[in-house]
Amino acid sequence: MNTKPTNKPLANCNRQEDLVTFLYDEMSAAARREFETHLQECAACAAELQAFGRVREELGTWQVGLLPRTEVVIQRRKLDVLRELISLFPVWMRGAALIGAAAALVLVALSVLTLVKSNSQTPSTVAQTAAQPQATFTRAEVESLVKSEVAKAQSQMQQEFRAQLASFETQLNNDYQTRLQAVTSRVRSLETGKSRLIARDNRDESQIREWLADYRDTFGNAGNER
Amino acid sequence: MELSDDQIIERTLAGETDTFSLLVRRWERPIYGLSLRMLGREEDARDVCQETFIAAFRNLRKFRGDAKFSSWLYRIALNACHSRLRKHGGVSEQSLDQEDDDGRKFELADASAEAASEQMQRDQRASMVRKALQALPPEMRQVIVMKEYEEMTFAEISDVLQIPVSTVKSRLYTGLQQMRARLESLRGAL
Ligand SMILES: [Zn+2]
Repeated sequence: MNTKPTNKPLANCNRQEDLVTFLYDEMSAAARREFETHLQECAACAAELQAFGRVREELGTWQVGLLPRTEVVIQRRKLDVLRELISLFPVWMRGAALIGAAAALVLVALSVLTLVKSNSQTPSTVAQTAAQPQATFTRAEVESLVKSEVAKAQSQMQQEFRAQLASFETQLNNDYQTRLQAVTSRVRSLETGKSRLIARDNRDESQIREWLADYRDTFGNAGNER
Repeated sequence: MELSDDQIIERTLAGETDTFSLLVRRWERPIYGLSLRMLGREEDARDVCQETFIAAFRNLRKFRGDAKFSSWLYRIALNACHSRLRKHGGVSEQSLDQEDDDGRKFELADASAEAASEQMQRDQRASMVRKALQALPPEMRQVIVMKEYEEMTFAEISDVLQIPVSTVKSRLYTGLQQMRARLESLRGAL
């Protein structure tokens, strides 16, 4: 029972904080002089200071050996890496879907424009030839075309990403000691790729809008009228 | 010219992720030491050390430049230590004994008899310290570890733990008192 540590200070002068400040030499010169005087008058503080000094000596016997080699390099567990990659997925897929849609729209817009051009003698006659029946598309037709193209492009993108993921996984399996460096640069390149694709997508979108506007100008009424 | 922690962080965030290894090299020893003294076992300390740098790397964007990087890093490491202690309920004395034995066998391999007995005495004292420290409540242990082994100032410890300097001092005082009592009772049991 008497070996149980007590949290009560041994001295009732209430200078515990000063005592540790003194012990670890963080006192100003003036405060130190003042506390040294106190130590001469307070046996409890003096005894405790000595005892703490011995505790510090003991603490000093526990030294850290050599630093384990493995720490120089940060390694990530494979699972963490994959999890992180997959966390990129939603953003990536959003990008892919947009790209798919954009690609499809470009395709449709292009085919419409080509049709128009092939039916006209010169670009300046587009407005005239627009009225020709074989060049008209209904809105529903365009939409279903777009939808199927989007779906096609999307599944292609998904496959590409899955293949990328799979090859990355294989690479990880082959190289168990994958270093953080490699992983981060890989993630970065994926991210760069993603932002590049999204940038391209944004660019494509504005072009598509132009084309669609053209298309509407040219076929808008005919398309609605059938 | 040596890069400051903040400069390294800036570069890492700008995409030069390799630069981060400079921070690892600079801080791995203190972080490993802190974790070892908090957890008592080398294996755990190694794990926490790795976890700390990985977490720091991943959360680097959340690091606020107005704080000291080392304080932030110490905080991450201490959190990792605490969650490990919560999960495993600390290390048993038995496993500490086992680790002592393993360590001694290894170190004695190529030592003269005299040096060996000296080493053994030192090991015994260190092992007692380790046990006494592990028996302390973690809040007190961490203050002793940072002050005694990491040689941090009271202000730095207060910054890491985000508690007033006076609380740091009173925890250190109580911690040393308890260490004293435990060391005395451990020595008595020998
Ligand atoms: Zn006193």
